[in-house]
Amino acid sequence: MVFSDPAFLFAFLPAALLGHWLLRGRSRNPYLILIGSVFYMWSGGSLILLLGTTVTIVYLVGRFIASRPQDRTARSVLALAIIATTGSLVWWKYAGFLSRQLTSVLEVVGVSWRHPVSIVLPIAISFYTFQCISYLVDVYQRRCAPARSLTDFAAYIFLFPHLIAGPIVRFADIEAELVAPPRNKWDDFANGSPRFFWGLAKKIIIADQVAVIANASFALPNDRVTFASAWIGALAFTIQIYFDFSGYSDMAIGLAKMFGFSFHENFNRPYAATSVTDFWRRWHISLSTWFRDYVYIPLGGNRRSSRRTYVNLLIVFTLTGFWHGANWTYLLWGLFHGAWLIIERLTGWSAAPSNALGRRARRLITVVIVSVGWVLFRAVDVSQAWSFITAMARPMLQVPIAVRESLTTQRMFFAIIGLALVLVLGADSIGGRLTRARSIRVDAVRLATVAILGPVALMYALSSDFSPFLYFQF
Amino acid sequence: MSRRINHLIAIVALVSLWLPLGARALGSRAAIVENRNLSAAPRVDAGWEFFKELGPYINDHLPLRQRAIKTDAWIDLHLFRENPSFGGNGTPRVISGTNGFLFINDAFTAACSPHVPQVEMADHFARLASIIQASGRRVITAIAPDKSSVIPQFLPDGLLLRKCFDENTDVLWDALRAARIPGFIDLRTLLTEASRRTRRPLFFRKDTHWDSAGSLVAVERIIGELQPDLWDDSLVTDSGTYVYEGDLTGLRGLPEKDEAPAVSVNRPGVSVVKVEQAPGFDQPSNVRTIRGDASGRMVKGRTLFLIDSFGYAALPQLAGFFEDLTTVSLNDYEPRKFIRLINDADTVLIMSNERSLGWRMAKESGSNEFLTLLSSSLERK
Repeated sequence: MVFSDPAFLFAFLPAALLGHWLLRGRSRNPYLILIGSVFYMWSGGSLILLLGTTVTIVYLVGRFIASRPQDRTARSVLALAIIATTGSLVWWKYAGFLSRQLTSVLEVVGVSWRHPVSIVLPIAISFYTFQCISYLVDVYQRRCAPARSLTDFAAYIFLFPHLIAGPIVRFADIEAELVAPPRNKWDDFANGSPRFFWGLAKKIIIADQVAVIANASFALPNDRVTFASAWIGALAFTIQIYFDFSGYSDMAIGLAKMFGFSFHENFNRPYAATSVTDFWRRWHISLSTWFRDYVYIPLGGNRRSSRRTYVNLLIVFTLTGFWHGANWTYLLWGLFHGAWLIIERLTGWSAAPSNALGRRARRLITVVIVSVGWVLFRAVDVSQAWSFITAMARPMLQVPIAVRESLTTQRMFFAIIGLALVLVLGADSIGGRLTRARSIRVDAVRLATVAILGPVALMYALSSDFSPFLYFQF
Repeated sequence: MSRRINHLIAIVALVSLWLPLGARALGSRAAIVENRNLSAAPRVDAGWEFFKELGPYINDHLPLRQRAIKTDAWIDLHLFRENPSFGGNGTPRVISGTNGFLFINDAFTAACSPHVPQVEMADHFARLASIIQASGRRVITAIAPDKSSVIPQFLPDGLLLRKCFDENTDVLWDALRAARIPGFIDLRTLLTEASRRTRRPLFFRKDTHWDSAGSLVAVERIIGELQPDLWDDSLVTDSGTYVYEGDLTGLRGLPEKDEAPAVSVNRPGVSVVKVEQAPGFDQPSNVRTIRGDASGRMVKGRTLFLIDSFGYAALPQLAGFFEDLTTVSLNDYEPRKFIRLINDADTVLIMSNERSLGWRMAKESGSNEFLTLLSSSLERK
């Protein structure tokens, strides 16, 4: 179940809010665990026991670490806990992939081994694993106090707005809100709703429409990919992934607000970046800061030699790529970005130009670079990625029929709106302002978002899965 | 920020999210809009499947869904002036032609990307008919052409798949004619000529099927092949028009009514008795046995129709010619059932629509597996 499902919008959310409004005091956190569990199971989480066990163990380890000085024992327990949680993630998410690679390698050397591992991937494991690791490290480094109770810690992990698809929220960021019950639930709902509907509109109205264009392009056989179709697909996916992901983050932030929590922004106009370095300060901020704080800086960051800095960057981006999925294409995408960060450091390109024309030109170049990177991310395998990238360099304007058919008037309209929002208007400043800014104009935009954009988005959500049979099916 | 604005925002958001549940509380219920039954309630004892069943159940039963679909479709048709494509489909399933005619895009994709080459389709169809004929049964075979194959003059200009559709359609029908299929009736040629001659489209404007004037052409020819003198007993009545709801309008989310000719065939002395499920015979509810009960002349013995919706559209005109008629939908392909029913029959009519032929010949009633099984299992008459 995702936030744009009719079942979530018109059944789960209203019921969850009703319970939240009726409950008082300390019953809030157990209630959050309950609805988070229902949400998790409804989203396909049959491995909820794994999640519950992980939460319990991490809580206990956190209490232990906090009770000791930062001595060798505490460090050892911390290290073991990190290895265990990371090992769990590696096993559930990557064992199948690694076993398939091993099978391929063995076949090359003439050994037949037909027992690849096939495991059901637990929903949200990438997110809650990182949250657990950040919690333990922060507790060890005294950046936050341990959770007062297992209930408080479980409420943090099970908080459904971020449970399945982030943002990666740190315990310290919502610790105070977990402890203190919300003061004005009506205001929270009023403050969270515009952000939620804004995110829903981004996902349903723009992302889902543009996705059809991207899908048509990426569905072409490799030998039929053309220059035009590859660029259309790349640009469509560039728009799609931003509106889909940032829209989902907007919904998560809005939902969290409805329940009395304030999440940090996860996107900050990433396509306004003037370099790939700048892009990573604006894109999936919760992930990039997590890798910065828990991998890059412990590795030494940029405090050592230049060569070591470049190695650290490559390590971080390799891991970033792989975190997104068990496929070589994600690894290549991560390395692609890591390589660009190194190039920008070497050339001084990471600093923004001082003049407006220079900044605009660099924005455009950065969008093109990032779009090429998105091809690696979206491709199903390396050979498709290669077909696309080589086609993108061979000018030919023929557009295959399947892609042309996907370019309906409505989709082109929303694609252009999406493009305008990210390149010209800076869509994320709208989202952020809806939650934080205070002025009559912003109030009017908030009202318009809820009164006009919201119902339109809800209408599209309700009709989106309409898939009739031509004839009556009994 | 103004508290009043805050209250207003909260109230509007509240109403938006609670509207379907509120409508349900006031008695509004979801309508069947997808030509299938609404999802059943999730089973509590289904374990983790409960959650998999819960989502579709809620989605199906939300009131106002039909209104949302209609609004979405209206926006596509009237604001963007194009047919809707729901559910992430790349292309709309409905094509708007001239003079209000609608066509189905599936016919174009089937023609341009066939499951198997057209020659193979024709060959499999010929083998299917030959096996049945060789067992001593009479067999009539036909392919009900798609609307776009018969009245392409109403197709819009600029269709991206038009060229490949025209070419591949001709290839298919040439292959069918060349394959010497036992009992084959070339309905495309018949309907195209009849349409020109009568200046009638012979197909519904808003529906994929032939109208009663179109099915009459097919019926007359089928009876002509089986027992020509029966047609002389028949009374063809043109009763003007009647109102129908086109399947293509439902497919695009905005059901519409239209008028179509009402042409019926009466057989004096014949009354058709419909039996939805013959007793003592293990068959699913789609099988309908129609027994004529009459002093009129009819095709004797047991007749089996293996048909799809085009055949069912022609059934009111056809049924009265048969003493004992069993109809089975080709969509409910099950090898053993089909063989059992063919075994029971003296005469077999097989009629598939054009766009489904490739799939059926590759994977179902024309597949190599079924043909092998049929050949070894069919009893001689």
